[in-house]
Amino acid sequence: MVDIFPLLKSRYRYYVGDMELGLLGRIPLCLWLVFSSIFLREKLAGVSAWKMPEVYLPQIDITHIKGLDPLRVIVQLAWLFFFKASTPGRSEYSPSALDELRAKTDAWIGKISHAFNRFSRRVRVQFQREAQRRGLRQMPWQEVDKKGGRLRGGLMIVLTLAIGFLCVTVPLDPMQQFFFGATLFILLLILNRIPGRFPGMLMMVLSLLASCRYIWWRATSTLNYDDPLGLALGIGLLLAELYAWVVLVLGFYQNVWPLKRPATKLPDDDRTWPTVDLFIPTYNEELDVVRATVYAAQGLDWPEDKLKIFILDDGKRDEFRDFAAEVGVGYVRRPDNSHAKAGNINHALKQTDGEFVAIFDCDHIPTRAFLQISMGWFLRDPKLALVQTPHHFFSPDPFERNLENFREVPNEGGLFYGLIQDGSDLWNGTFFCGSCAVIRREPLEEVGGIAVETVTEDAHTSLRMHRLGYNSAYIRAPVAAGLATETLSAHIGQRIRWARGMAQILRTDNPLTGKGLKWRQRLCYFNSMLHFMSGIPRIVFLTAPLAFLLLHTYIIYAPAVMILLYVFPHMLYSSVVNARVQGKYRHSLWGEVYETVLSWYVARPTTVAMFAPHKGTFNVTAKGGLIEEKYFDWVMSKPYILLVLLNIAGLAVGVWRLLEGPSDEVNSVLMNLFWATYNLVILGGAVAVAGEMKQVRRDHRVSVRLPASVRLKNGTLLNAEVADFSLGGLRVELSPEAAGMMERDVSVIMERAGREFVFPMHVAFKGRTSVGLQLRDKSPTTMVNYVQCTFARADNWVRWKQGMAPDKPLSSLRMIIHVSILGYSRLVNGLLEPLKQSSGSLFNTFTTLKSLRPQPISMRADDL
Amino acid sequence: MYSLLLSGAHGGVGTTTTTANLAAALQVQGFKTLSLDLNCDNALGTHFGVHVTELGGWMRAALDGEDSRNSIFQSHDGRCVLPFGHVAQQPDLILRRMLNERPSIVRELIADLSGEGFDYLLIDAPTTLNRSHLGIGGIGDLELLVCGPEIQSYSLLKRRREEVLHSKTHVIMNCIQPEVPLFGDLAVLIREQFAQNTVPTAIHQDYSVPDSLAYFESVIAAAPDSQSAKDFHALALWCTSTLKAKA
Repeated sequence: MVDIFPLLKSRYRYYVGDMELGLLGRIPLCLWLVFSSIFLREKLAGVSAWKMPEVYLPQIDITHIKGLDPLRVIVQLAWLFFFKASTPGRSEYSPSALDELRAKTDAWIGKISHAFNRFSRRVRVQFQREAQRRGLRQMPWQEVDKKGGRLRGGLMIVLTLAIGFLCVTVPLDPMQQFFFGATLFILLLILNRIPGRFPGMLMMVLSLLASCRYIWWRATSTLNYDDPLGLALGIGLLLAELYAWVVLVLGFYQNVWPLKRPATKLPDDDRTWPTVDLFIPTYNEELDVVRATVYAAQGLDWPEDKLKIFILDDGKRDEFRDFAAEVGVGYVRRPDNSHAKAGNINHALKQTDGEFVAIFDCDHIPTRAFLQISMGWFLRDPKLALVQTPHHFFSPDPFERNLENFREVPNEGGLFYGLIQDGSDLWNGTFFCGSCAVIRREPLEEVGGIAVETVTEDAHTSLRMHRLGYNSAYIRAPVAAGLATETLSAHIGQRIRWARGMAQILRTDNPLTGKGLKWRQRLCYFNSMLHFMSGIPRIVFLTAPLAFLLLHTYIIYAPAVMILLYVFPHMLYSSVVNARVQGKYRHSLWGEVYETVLSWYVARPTTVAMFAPHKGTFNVTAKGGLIEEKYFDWVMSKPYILLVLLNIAGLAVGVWRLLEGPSDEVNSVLMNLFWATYNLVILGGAVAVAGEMKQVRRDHRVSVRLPASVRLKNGTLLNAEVADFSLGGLRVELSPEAAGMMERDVSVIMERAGREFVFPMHVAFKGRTSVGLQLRDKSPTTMVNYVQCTFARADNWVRWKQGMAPDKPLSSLRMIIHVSILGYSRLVNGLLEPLKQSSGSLFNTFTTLKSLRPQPISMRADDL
Repeated sequence: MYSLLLSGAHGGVGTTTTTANLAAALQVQGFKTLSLDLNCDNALGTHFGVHVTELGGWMRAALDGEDSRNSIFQSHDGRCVLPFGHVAQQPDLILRRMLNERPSIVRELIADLSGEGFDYLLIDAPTTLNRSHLGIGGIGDLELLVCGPEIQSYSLLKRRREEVLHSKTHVIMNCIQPEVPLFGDLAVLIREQFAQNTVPTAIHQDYSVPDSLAYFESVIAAAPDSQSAKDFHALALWCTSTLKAKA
């Protein structure tokens, strides 16, 4: 009895820590501790009794009891009691019949998986042996062109196509179609659990089968020729679906075997390394943005006499010229501004003479390994004209910022730089993206420099080099990083430019025709361009259910059951396969949100460019701006709001039809209601993006974990860890004692490649364990070293995606629904600005309701 | 028992300090360590809190004809030390005389100590060119050559590479001072030119080290947040993993 007070005290500390607690917090906690220590046994249900609230009621903070907590306790206890009858302790677990079945299936799948692995290993070994035999010069895509294999391959293709055609076109009655779909689905699920590339490819084939069947059925038996309006709208929808189908097929083709090209070693003797000119084109960006890029470029690992850096200033600013002179890099200015960035680079090409040209947008900071990683392939393949590396962004783009999912969900560019470019590399179809790339001067001059005819000069240039028989390569190593566009309107502006440019190329220099390209390159380019044409089809999908709900015409003229039996396999299978193929780079359904946001804006320019390719002007993407106040972008979101209203009207009419309409229509109404609801969810996501969140920090902070040490005036050296850095300074974390010792002026020591650098800083703020520091000395030499130790570290961006959860379609759907509700609440918020109190309640109600649901419980070893 | 032989490239590079703090870091890893002072200035004991009035040590015991193992001291954090011992006058001369009589006295001493149940024996030896009379060549499972980022250390390594760097010898840089560009350059130079024989970590110049000694503590115990404490942990980790890899 004597010992109970220290015990209670320690338990109290466990719950409270260093917090200051009010009386309302203390009373329930003390009551519980006293009660549990006196009346309860030491351990209950395998858990220390006094810890039970923490373990079994994770959603409740006993020190901060809220009004609805009693309800939460009831829900949680009921859930635990009825659904989680056994405690999670290991001893009480007994396998059920279901578990045994699962174990058996696993064993069975394991066997198949083993067989597959053996097969794929054999293919891989064969592949490598072949590559060795042909010498290292041989590029993987050239393996396909075997003389003797061509006839055999051709026969195989004909045979496969014949069987495929049969599978796709044979008519089946509903029951047969159901069994066909179900069988495919089971096969798909089994394959999905087997790792490796071959099962993935097989899945693509099965999914294609379902999709082709669907498209064939749609085209042959669902058009209503008796109803002109229905026919017209039906053909419209069919065309949109055809577009989606072509993109799906080409996407599978393009991504069937991402090359994952490794970097290749340079010769040991660096005197044989080629000379490189590094261009940093700039037009209206701030000097601070350009500075970091120049400092990083100066630290690139390359012989000093073989690397020349040039600032290509189209803004004709003297402060840039002075800066270039101060830090000792080249400065190029031209008399006119014709052809924007392309013209700027072309002008500089005439002033310089390096064997290679590296191009960096002024806000992309190269890491020191950039040339080491990208140059090796040029020496190995003399026909190689371009090496492209991904564009990595260390600041959130408008999607990430406004949806608040930075570094949690792969961003919009993730798919392109993670998968599509890598997939195209197999087919020698990787193209130039304007920055973070190296080009061989000779072929570049052969095609007349950077193309100036279209607004996407980058893709067009590489298309021309491909036409001359040069190769391109993609190395998926994040060896440079930059700033993302700041505002939604700027972001959309940039995408409009890309879309218009791609449409222009498609019109003026169509990759499907013309000489010089291999058919596989044609398809890669075509697919990349097709991606930008998604505007009109997307709008068609977003409005399609309205044709029935509002206009009462059947645009898919078939019984609802048949539609389900055909549409379901098509949609479901392609999303299962895409989740597997693209999951790491784009989570399920997010593509729909991204596309929806852009659809309205790219629809017009792409269409115009298709008919009049020379219309329109080049708009520069502004970056590094600030958003001082949170606001809702009414201008940008106008089209989505219109679509939202239309769909809501459709829903209302649909519900009326359900209640009042004829009973034989119920299925069709339900299906279209479901479709319209889905559209509303996606549109909600698009609306959410228009709610611009604040962006007030000028220097973007990059979260990291880097070792560092801090020198105090008396000579003491403290061990610390850099938690984030920006161009102006950094934040370190230390132990509370060490943080307490920090003085106003300190020196931070950071290491780079075995060398330590000292940066004088002063303390800007001081927390318990974290201290914010600002650079005191901003002289060029210090800044070069500082950028080298921070932004330009070779390993900086490699682990960037480690924190991302893997793609799970259902949790992805849940997140989209969450985002969508956020969007509608922002919309209501924006609409009812004066009545702010009530407007936020929609979202608040949602979060409150969500917080009532039972929580899974997990135990740590020390709870037991 | 593993034995680590520590020698300086020249005087004043911090061999004794390194020995005491490395022992502390090994002790934190859970090893029982004994540090042996072979220098006649008898300074190592101070790092373990041995009081100046204590006269005991292996030399003292040898002169008195006693068992040197009775002169092992233990600091309050568990590290053990066998000092050189107090010799009233001209300890260097007396040591030489002793070695003339019994040339293998140090080897015998180390053999005796190996039966005492320690995991690591750290030998704080005189500078690398001044220890041949002790007859301890090749006795360490691992030899650490303590160098400073200075011209003296570099020129010794350059001139007498064959002599001072064996396969078991590794250079550990002490008192790294990134603030002084010359020191930084020399550290990089030594690491690059003797890459095979260099420990991948280094120990920073840190006021916490002498400050801790003023409290008769290791820097590990007295200033756990300091960079040098972290450096010694890293060095200890490198030593144990290197020895494990060799075994």
